[in-house]
Parts: sequence; structure tokens; C-alpha cells
Amino acid sequence: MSTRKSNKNIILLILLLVVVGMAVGYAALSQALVINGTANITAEWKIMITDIKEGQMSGAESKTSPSYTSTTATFDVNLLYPGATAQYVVTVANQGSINAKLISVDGLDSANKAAPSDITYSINAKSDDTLGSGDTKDYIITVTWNADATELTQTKSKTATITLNYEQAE
Amino acid sequence: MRRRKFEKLNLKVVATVILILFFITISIGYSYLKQQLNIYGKSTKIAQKVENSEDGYSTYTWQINNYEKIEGTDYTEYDISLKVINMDSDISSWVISFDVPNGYNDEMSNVPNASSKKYDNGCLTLYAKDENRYISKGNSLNIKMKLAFKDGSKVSLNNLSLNGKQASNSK
Repeated sequence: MSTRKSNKNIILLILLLVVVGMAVGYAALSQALVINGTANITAEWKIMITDIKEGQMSGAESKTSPSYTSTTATFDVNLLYPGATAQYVVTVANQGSINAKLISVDGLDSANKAAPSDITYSINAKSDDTLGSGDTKDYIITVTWNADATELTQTKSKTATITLNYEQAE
Repeated sequence: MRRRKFEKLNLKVVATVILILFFITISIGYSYLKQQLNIYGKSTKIAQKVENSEDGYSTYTWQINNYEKIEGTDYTEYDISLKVINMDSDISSWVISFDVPNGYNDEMSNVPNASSKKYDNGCLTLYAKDENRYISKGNSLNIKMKLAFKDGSKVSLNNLSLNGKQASNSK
């Protein structure tokens, strides 16, 4: 009887040792892997005008050289006779890292409705034009003196402010 | 009990504030990503008609090279050459006006050396093209025209003015 009991104890002890050994062995064969990472946000939003120059001029002369800043472009032109047209090319650049989209072009309707009505402005920009990061785009502004104009005896001027509205593209 | 209610209320308030701040941050961040670019343009149309032409020293000659009846109409097309010699000052963009007789048909007429033409009350006005608009003093301008007149019209070009200054017909 006492021999059986001592046998059981020995078996229990052995089993205990095996379990402990497995646990220790497993623990020894464990390795913690630590991944260190640093995330930096470097996105930049930068849409700007980078140039304006004369395009095709027919019966038109720039009164002063066209000029620009990062957010504005300016021109001043004389139209010499009915049918004259002047074109100016404005370059817009996306120098940021976020894609942009032209949401709207404002100011043309009000400019064309104002007097004298035989001078009209147009631009080849349209809503939803996209401008990806690093891209540039040339827009052409055209000013025309209507060839069928009847008011010819007076020198008259007309100004326009054309606004290009950009937002982040989806 | 009161303390629990108070704690719950505080948690609600804090959570609401956090959510509000979160949405405000998103909308501010979104609204910053806009850009307006403005293009300012000014254009001036230069007066064309001079009420009283002053006398100038320029001269002009013209001749009919050929003429041909326009089929199916009462009109004849005249192939005319006009030469204007500028004896006034340098011109950066010419405008030539002259009188044409009754019977002239502007729609059937064509002036390839002019960018456009305008007919008003017996007076035909031609405007320079880009490539020929400059006439320095002493130099001439040659213009080819195909003008249509009603059959039987006596074709003539009279009272020509160059940029508002009367020219003489040296024919």
C-alpha cells in the first residue's frame, strides 16, 4: 500500500517537472518583437498662379505687361477695332501634395453683362477640372470686341475679375 | 443615488463636448483646403470713327482687274485692287474707309486682306489684319477686294480716309 502511494507521488512529481519544464522551455523560446514606428503627416495644400503671358493677339495691344502674384494675375489691353481679340495664358500650379479640383469659375457673367456689352470675356476653364499634385495647367482668357459692334465713336473700358475656386479633390 | 446621477450626467456632457470638438476640428480642417485665384482684366476699345476727317497727305489708287456676273442674282462681282500710300505718320493698325455707290452688296463681298469689314450708309470700312496692320510713313498697303454691285452700277471708290485722315485719289 505504501509502495503504491509512493509510486503515485513519484509519477505526480515527474509530471509536475515535465509541465514546469515545458513552461520554462516555452518561455525560453519566446521572443518579444517590438516594432517601433513613427508616422509624420507632411501633406501640403498649395495652389498658385505661376505665370501669365500674351497669347494670340489680333488687333490688340497690351497697354502694360501682364503681371502676377501667387494668387492674382493682371492684364490691361487695348482693342483697336471691332473684331479684335486678345488672349492671355495664365498658368496655375499645384505645388502641394494634395490633389485639387476646380469647383467653380466666377465673375464672367457679371463682367459680360456690364457695359460696354460689345466687349466680352471668356476662359477655357470648367468646373471639375482636376489639378493633381505637381501638375500645372494653362488657362486661356480671351477678350473680344464684337465685330458687329455699332458703338464705335467713343473709347470705352471694361474690367473683369475672374475667380477660380479650388478645393481638395476626393 | 444622487452622486451616480451626477456622475452619469457629467459623462454625457463630456462625451458631447468631445464629439462637438471632433466635428469642429474636421470641418475647420476641411474648410482650410480651399484656394481662390483671381484674374483681373481691363480692356479698352479704341474709338474708330472720326467725326470730321482731317486732310492728310496719303494717296490712293484703285483699279478693276476683272468682273463676273454672280449666277442666279442681279449682282456682278468686281475684282478690285486698291493701293494706299501712307504719307502721314507711321500706323500700327490701319483702318480704311471709303464711299461706295448705291447697289453695293456687303454680304456678297469679300476682302481677304482685311480682318473684317463694316458697311454703313454708303461707307465701307476695312480693318487691318495682324500680318499687314503696320504701315510706316512712305510705305504702301495693297488690298485685293471682291465687291459685289447690282448690275448696271457705276463702280467707284471715293473719299478714302486712312485712320481718319483724308487721302487723295492720285489716279
